[in-house]
Amino acid sequence: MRFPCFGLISLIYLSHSLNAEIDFARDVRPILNANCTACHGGVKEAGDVSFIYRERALGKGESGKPVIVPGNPDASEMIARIVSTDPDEIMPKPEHGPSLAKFQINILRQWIQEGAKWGEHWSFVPPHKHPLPSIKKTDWPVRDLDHFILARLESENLNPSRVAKPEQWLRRASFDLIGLPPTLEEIEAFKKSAAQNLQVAIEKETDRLLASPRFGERWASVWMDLARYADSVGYADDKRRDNWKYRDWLIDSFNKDLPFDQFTIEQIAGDLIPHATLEQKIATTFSRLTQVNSEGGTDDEEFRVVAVMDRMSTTWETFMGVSFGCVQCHSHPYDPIKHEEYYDFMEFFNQSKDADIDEDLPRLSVPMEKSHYDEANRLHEQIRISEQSLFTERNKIDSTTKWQPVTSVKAEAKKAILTITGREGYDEFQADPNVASGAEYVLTFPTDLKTVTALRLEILPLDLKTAAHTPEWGGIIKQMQLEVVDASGKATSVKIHEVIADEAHPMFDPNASITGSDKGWGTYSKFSKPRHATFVLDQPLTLSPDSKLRVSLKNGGTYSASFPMVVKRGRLALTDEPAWINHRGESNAVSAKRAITDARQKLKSIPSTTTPVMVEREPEHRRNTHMFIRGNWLDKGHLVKEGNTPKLFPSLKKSGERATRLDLAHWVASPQNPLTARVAVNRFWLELFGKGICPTPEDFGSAGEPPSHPELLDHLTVMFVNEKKWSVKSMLREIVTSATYRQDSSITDELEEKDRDNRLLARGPRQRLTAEMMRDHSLSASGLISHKIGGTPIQPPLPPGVWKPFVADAWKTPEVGNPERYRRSVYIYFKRSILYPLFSSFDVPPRDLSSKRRLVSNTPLQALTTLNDAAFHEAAVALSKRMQSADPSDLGKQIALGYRLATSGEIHADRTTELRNLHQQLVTEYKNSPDTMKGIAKTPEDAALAVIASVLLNLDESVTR
Amino acid sequence: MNLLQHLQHEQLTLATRRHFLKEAAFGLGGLCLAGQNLLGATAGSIVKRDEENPLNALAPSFAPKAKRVIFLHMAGAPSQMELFDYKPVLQQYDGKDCPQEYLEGQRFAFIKGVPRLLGPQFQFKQHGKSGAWISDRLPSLYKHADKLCFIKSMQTDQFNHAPAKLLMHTGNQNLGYPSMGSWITWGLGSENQNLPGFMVLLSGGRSPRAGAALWNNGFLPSVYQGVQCRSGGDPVLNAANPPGINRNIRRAALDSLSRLNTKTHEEIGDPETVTRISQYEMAYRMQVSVPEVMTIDDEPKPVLEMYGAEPGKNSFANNCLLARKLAENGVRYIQLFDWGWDTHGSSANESLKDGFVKKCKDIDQAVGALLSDLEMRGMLEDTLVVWGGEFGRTPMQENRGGGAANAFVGRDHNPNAFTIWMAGGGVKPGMTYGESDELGYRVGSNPVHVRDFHATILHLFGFDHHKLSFPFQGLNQKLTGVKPAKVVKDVLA
Repeated sequence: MRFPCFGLISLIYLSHSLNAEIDFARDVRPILNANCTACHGGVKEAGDVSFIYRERALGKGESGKPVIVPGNPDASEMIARIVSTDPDEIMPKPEHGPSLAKFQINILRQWIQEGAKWGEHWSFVPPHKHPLPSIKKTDWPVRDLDHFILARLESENLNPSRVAKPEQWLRRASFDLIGLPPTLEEIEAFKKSAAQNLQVAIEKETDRLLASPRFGERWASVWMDLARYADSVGYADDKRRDNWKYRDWLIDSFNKDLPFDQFTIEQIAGDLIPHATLEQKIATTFSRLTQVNSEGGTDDEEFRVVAVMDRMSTTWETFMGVSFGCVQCHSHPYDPIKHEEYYDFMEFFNQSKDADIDEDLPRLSVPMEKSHYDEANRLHEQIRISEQSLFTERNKIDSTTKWQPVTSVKAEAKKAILTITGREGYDEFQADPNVASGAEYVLTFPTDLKTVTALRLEILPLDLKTAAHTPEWGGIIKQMQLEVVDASGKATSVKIHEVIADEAHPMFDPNASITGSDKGWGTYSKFSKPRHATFVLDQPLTLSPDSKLRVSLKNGGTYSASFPMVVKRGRLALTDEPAWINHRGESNAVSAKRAITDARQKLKSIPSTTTPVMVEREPEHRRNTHMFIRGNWLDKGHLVKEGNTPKLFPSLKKSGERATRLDLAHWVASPQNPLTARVAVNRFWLELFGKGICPTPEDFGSAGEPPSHPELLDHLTVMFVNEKKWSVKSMLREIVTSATYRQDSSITDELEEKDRDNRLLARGPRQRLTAEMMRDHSLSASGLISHKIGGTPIQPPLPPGVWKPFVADAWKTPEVGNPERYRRSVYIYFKRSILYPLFSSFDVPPRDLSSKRRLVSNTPLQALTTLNDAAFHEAAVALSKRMQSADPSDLGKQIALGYRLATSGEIHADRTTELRNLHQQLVTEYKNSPDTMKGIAKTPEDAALAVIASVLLNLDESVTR
Repeated sequence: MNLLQHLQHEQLTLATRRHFLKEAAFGLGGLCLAGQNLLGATAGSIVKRDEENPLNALAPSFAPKAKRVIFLHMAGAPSQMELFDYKPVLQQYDGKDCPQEYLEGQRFAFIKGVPRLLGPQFQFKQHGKSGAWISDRLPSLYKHADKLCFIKSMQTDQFNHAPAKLLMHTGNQNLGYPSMGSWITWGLGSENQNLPGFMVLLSGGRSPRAGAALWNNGFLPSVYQGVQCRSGGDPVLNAANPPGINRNIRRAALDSLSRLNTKTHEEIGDPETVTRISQYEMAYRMQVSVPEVMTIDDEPKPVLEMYGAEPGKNSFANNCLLARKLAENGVRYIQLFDWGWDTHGSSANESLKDGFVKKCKDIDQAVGALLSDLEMRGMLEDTLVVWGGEFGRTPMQENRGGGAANAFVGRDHNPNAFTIWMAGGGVKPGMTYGESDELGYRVGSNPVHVRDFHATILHLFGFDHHKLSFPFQGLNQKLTGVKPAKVVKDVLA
């Protein structure tokens, strides 16, 4: 039996469903998914039968018999096959699974009888407000949401728990909202105000926590799992990459309560927002947190495509909770999303400039100080606008230029064999397939032009047709030199003034090809159509009739993934159009160039780092997006006309002629999108209660689990969008100040029996601290913590034997006492291939891909970490010193202080006695072997106290919230 | 039962029941309510067991032949054509263009255009009464030929390393599923309460691709995850006490901690607290037992020499010796990964003539020694030794980029046919099951999919692969997944 629950569902269904109308999504789809769609679904349509779409299910199968006849189960082949006793006929086939249970058949019969109405899966239906359910214990709820929880509890004959002690609530809320324990002063103050009016105190305290700058750090760490944030590029080399400005942006966004719809839009398409701020551009690092494969032998286009697909999946799974990756190869196995729709969606992400090149471009230069952001953004814009205006001017010149194709070419080459072929009026040069890195070409040719002002070099793909959908390896011109050769053979060098690319904003400066450089103009690393550059002479060159021109091209080397960056096919053209030279003296051009130089210079003077960002290709260099046959990127199907979203959902609104990534972002963040707000609200719930209302945050589709409180999820979703205007802080406030959240977390025998997992929430949540909280807690309790916000990654102590990076990447731990050693864990350098051990022991995902939830474990390795790890040891010793400050002569007070710092609670006498006894025992032990004290303390008493501190930090109530 | 055992037991009960309740009660439909008769709901699956006593109930359905595994995974996929799958026909076609019928519709990791066939690069001879073909790269195996049970018709779905490794070890190419080691330790528990039931040893200088996901517990309780042992620093991270703390002090502190946490449990009633108490105890025991068992310093010289092991080094030989020690100490599932078998021919290190030769030298003596050692100690009969990679290699020489061939001699990935062998633990000795086609490219007869391989191993441990299941995300999840899998009966002793 595949689905363990059917026995139970049957009881419920039998008692309810015979009277009530069958609901397709609730009652039928699960049966189909469990028993039928593996063969008759989106992947396989055995016998030409599929149960994903109604029109297909009502059609005829291969046998010619109608699969489902609405209103007539007896005429429906589906039922005939399900109830058949013939082993050749029965469905599911015996080798595929057991036959359906009676109650399931009854459901299907009744459903067909009632007209075989199709119904959408719950999460694809827009949420709506539900009336508050009636409850008996009317004085319990504080918020509307409490009504839904209580109604369910009452229906199960369960009572909510008593209100948690103030310190328990405060600890819970403090960790949940800011990821840190409350300070002693905060506890005291809260206890006092709670004694006067609990709810008022709770609300005030919640506001304080939401206003804390620590709030952003805590919630950024949640989002970083989703965004697959890392400080390295991944794959085999896993080199360091500066992404941390995006982390700063996250922290900042949470702190200033950027509305969640805006938060969504900026991450998906901040670069395309009109007059985008620097922050909005930084937000798009979200999509660039994909891995870069710089391992030899890997194809940049292949891994560009992998990154594009990862962006698609991450966008779907993070914001909308629907798995989308499977649609790459075939239609969705369960949900009505078609194979083609995947590629319509791909178009949105297929136009960004990045292409898996080792330099990881484009990268935005970002000032270290936020105060310089606006200025830098203005300068970036100045460059962009000026480049665009220069490009437009030059395009105008180009459109009226008469280019004369170069013919009669004599070609020589080093490290290559060049052949010359006449084609389209040109003499094309083409290198043999085994051309090596750094090949040099010398092309000599006559011209009947009397004057030459510019020369155009065109690079062509070897196979134009294929390259149009699957690009070829390109080439780079490290240096281009032009000479004029007179009749006697004497060569004179001709000065080139500038190189003008066929795009407004080339990633590398094309002018580098004049002086000679590692990377000048070219088609690095792959290209899909002919590209050209115009080499403009310094002065018009007057030619005598018998002189010739000689062009020397030095090709690029092996930069990326061991493929030589050499031009394999090209052609030249000349012109005498004076505008190419004259143009540079015109005021527009002069001022544009000055503006660029000025802006670059000013940018240089601002101390900056970089972050990878999304930048769209210019319209004339748009990529062709094709469907991949069975998901194979090399096997291209039809050309996608423009980006679109699956038909299953409300349609996309275009702002212009073509749908853009920004349109998509608005679609995702739209109140009409049935998923985005739901998924967000569910995530808040998950963080606060340890379980989502929908328990599978990674899958809101029909293969996921349905919500425990569907009306509540709807209620919160509608509230989030309409009432709270997507404010994350307001939404969290709503939940944290509820009666549900403030319950005591003790587990009674009854609750253990009936709802051990606390899905019904008859008690408050009790969660283990996350990896980040675990370390931050020990730093906080010990007083070591440093609260500097934002900035570059930190490298706290690391156990020996762990750090073995594949390519050089030093781990430098700041010395003891340096505040950088004690900063919060959200800043720990995150290398994908070597997870920080604390992270891997405490369930942090590797972040190669987006991760939707952490499965909380409880293992001996965690105990070894918090007992023995150098960082925790250091914290324990520091805590013991802090404990002494309570009263150097009163062990009881010291223990009480330590306990409060570690657990936020008051110690009971029996625990004090336990720890006093331990202290005594340890003092004796240290006295007996004084050598042992090395590295922990100078006196047996101090050493014993340090061990007590370690015990305190390891208490169950210390590692939970 | 002493307190410790009691805690261990209670923890397992709780952990199992917790997951069981969670998944079953709120599984598909979400309407099922806790406290109802859950056993009836899952009839036919492993959950027929006594819920209160999961260890007993999880005793295998039938008498197991194997009590523990030593799984030697050659990470990167060793070439079967250079070791065990002798192809004289391929030799005849050496250097010829690969026939189109082999290329049509095929995807390769690196091969482009029309590659050339590549004959076996080393000499083969038959050995033992069974007449097993073994190449001259693994001479130490000659004398063990009649202990080995070859499957030469292995098949997988994946031709990239990470997904293929995941499929081999978790039954699924995606991240997030429990590894076979987790399944088996979940099913059987550990024979030594002071060591994890599932331990992982790495050699070859790098971690296998997909890393820790290969020994993860997935949705099974986390106590069943594989524990990676390290060669540098502590064998298990943070196994050593920090400065200022010795064993007595640690014991006293933990006794106190345990009593304090017991109080907390009495007050709060959180089952996680009980689990935590026992995990701290386990940690304490591991602090001694792991370094003890994880050192070969005290092994007699002849033993070290037999394996070619050198104390203080990180090597496959050391790991083989450690594996034997772990097996002796009751560790259920011992997983070795040896990195560096990805023989594409793109560099000397990745060439069959160079890197591959070195890799063979690295393992030959140690694998032979391990088999001899287990036999001498009478452990081979209930210890299953598995040797293999994540897929096979092509009979064609790799020609990355579409030229004639790579600079060095190598082969691309081949998921269609590959060879593994098993020994001991209830498999038929001196046997070869299945064969590849004449060129060694596809399966010729008796295909064994990775799922079948898993079903067979579970069978050796006394489990019906249909029944060793765990409810998760609405499915009764199994190591062998949803597609049909069969036990390869012919290889059972």
